[in-house]
Amino acid sequence: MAHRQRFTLGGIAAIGLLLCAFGARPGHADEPCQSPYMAKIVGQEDFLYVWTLGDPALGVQSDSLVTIDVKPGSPTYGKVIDRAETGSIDEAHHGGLTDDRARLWVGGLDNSKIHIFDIATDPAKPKLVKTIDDTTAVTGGLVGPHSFIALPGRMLIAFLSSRDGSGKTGLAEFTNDGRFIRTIWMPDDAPYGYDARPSAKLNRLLTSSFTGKNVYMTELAKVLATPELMKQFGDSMILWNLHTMKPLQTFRVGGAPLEIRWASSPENNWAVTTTALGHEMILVERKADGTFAAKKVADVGEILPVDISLSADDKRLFVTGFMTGELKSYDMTDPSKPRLVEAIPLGPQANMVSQSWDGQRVYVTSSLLSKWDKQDATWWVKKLNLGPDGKLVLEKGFEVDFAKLGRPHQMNFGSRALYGSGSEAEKVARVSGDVVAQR
Amino acid sequence: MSLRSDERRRSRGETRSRCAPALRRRALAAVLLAALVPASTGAAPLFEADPPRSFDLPVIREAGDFSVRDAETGALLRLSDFRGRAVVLSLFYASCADGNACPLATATLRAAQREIARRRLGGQVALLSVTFDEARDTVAVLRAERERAGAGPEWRFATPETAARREALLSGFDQRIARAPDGTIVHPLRVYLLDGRGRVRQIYSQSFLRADVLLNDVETVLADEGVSGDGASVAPPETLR
Repeated sequence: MAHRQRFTLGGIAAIGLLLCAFGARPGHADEPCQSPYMAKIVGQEDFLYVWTLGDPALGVQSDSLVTIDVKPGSPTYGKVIDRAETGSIDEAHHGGLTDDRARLWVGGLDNSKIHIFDIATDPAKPKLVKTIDDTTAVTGGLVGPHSFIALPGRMLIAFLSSRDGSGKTGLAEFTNDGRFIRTIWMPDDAPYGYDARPSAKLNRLLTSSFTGKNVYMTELAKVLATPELMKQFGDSMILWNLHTMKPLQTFRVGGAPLEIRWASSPENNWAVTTTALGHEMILVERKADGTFAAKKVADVGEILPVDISLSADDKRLFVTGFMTGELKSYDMTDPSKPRLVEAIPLGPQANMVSQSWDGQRVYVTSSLLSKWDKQDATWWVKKLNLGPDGKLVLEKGFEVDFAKLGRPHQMNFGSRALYGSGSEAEKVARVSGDVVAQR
Repeated sequence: MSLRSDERRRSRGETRSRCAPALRRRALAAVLLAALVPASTGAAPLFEADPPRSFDLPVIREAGDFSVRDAETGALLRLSDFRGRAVVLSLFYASCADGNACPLATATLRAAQREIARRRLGGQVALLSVTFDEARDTVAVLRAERERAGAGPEWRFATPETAARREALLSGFDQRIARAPDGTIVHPLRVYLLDGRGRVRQIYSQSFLRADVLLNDVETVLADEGVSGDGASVAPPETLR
C-alpha cells in the first residue's frame, strides 16, 4: 500500500512486513457489533471508555480505564473526565460489557488478569470492583484473555494462549460477577483462538485464530526474523453450535483471521472477518442447507488489518490498518463484492475502530501491543463523522492526546440512559435480550 | 436513531413472536394479546432445537433461596419448596410493553406448559412467573395476568411483596433493574432454568426462548440428576477435555 514505507521498525527490512501481517489485537467495541445479548445505545453515546496500557516511558505506571466525555454540547466534550487505574501494567488490551451493561470487563494479555468495572452506579466514573488474578489457574491453563462477549447473565472469553505460551487455547465462561463456570478447549486440529462471536438467531458461534504468548509478547522485530515464530499463527475459523458449545465446521481461511462481525439485519445470515497475515476479507455465509461456507471476497491490501466495524444496516465496513495507519471504508451492500469507498490516513499506525449505532460517528485508537507498536507511534483517540456524501471527515478539535495517559486500545460506549437516569431515556434499547440483533 | 424507529425495524425482523410493534403502554393490551399467540405460528426457526441429553448444561450459579407470595393461593413459595423439580423462572413485570421482552417470556411459558403435558413431564417441572414491580403488580394484576396466560396448576404467578424481598430475589440472580422517568423498567430479558437443587443451568434471552429448546433443556437437566434431589454429589464445573 501507499503508506507501507512508513512502517519503521528499527531497521527491520520491509520485506518481513509483508509476510508478517501478524494479527493485531483489535477490538469489538463498536456499538452495532456488540454481543447480540447486550442492550444497545441507539442514539448519542455519552462516554467513551478506553482501556489503556500503562507505559513507564510515558511516566504511566499502571494500566487504566480512561473515560472521555463524547456528548456534544457538554462542557467537558472531548475531554478526559476520569481515569481509573488497575494498579499494574499487564498488556491491557481488550474488554467487553456484560449483557446488562452494568459492568465492563477488561483483560491483560501478559499476566492474564481480568478487571471488572462497575459502570452503572456512575457511568461517568467507572469503579474497579473486582480483579481476577488467578485466571489461568481457575480456567485450567488458559492464558491471554482476549475477547469478552456477553451471553445472558455471563461472559464468554476467548483466550490466545496457554501455560506453555503456545497458541493452543480455549474459551471460558464466567458469571457477570466474576465466578468461573467452565472452560472449553479449542479442538486439536484447530487449536488457536482470538475472537468469539455468537449469532443468537442462528444458534451459532464463530471463533478465529491468532497466536500464543510466546509470539505476541516478543518484540515484533524478533518475531519477523524468526521463522519458527512466524509459523505459530493460526489459520482457522471454527463454527460452533452456540447452545451445545460443540464445534461443527472448521474453515481454513489462512493468515490469522482476527475480528469477526455478524451481520445484524434479519435477512442477512453472514459474518465477515479479515486475515492479518493474508490481508483478505473473508465472508462466512449460511447456505440453504443450514451449513456454512467461507470464501475470500476482497484483498484489503498490505495494511495489516487489525480491526473491523460493521454498521448496523450491514452496508458499511470499516477496516483499520496497523501498518499503514489508515482507516478503510467498504461498501458491503453486496457482501460478496465489497467496494472500497475511501482510505483515510490517520497516523503512523492505527488499531481499534468503533462506530456508533447510527454509523454517524467513528472513533479510532492507535496502540496495538507493547512489543509491536512502532517506534514513531503516537497515542491518541480520534473521531470521524459521516458526511452527507457517505465519506468520513476527521473532527477538527477532537483528538484526545494520550501522551501522558498511556497507550489507548479498546473502546466501549457508555450512556446514562442505560440505567434509567437522565432525560433522554429514548436513546437506548430498553431491554437487553438478543432483540436488536434480530430487529 | 430513536428508540421508536429501532423498535419498528426490530419488530419487522422478528421471526417468532408475532407481537405487533412493541410500543408504548397505551398499546399494552394489544401487545400482550399479540404476544400470546403461540410462537409456533411464526416463521420457521433458523435452527433446530438440540435433542435432549445430547449436550451438557454447566452449573452457571447457585440461585439463592427466595420467598414470594403466590398470587392465587396466598401461600408463601420458597425456591427450596421446588427441590427435586426443574423450575423455569421468569422475572418480569406486567406492564412491560416490549413484545420482545416480558410478553415473549409469558408466551413461551404458555407454550412450554402445553409441551410439558405433551411430553408427560407433569410433576417434574414447575413454571414460576415472579414480578419485580411489586408496587404496581398487585395480587389482582397478577391474577388477571395468570388468567390471560391460561396458566394451569403448575404455573404460579407470584410477588416478592416488598422492595427488600424483591432486591434480595434479584441479587440472588445478579439481575438489575432500573426505573426510567416514564415509569418503564430498564431490565434484561432473562428466564432461568433451575435444576432440582436450585442451581441455574440455563439463562434464556430472546432467540432461545422457544418451548422446544426450553423443554429439551429441562429433560437434559432432569436426566443428569437421575431422579433429582437424591443427595448425590454435586458435579464440579464442567471442563471439556
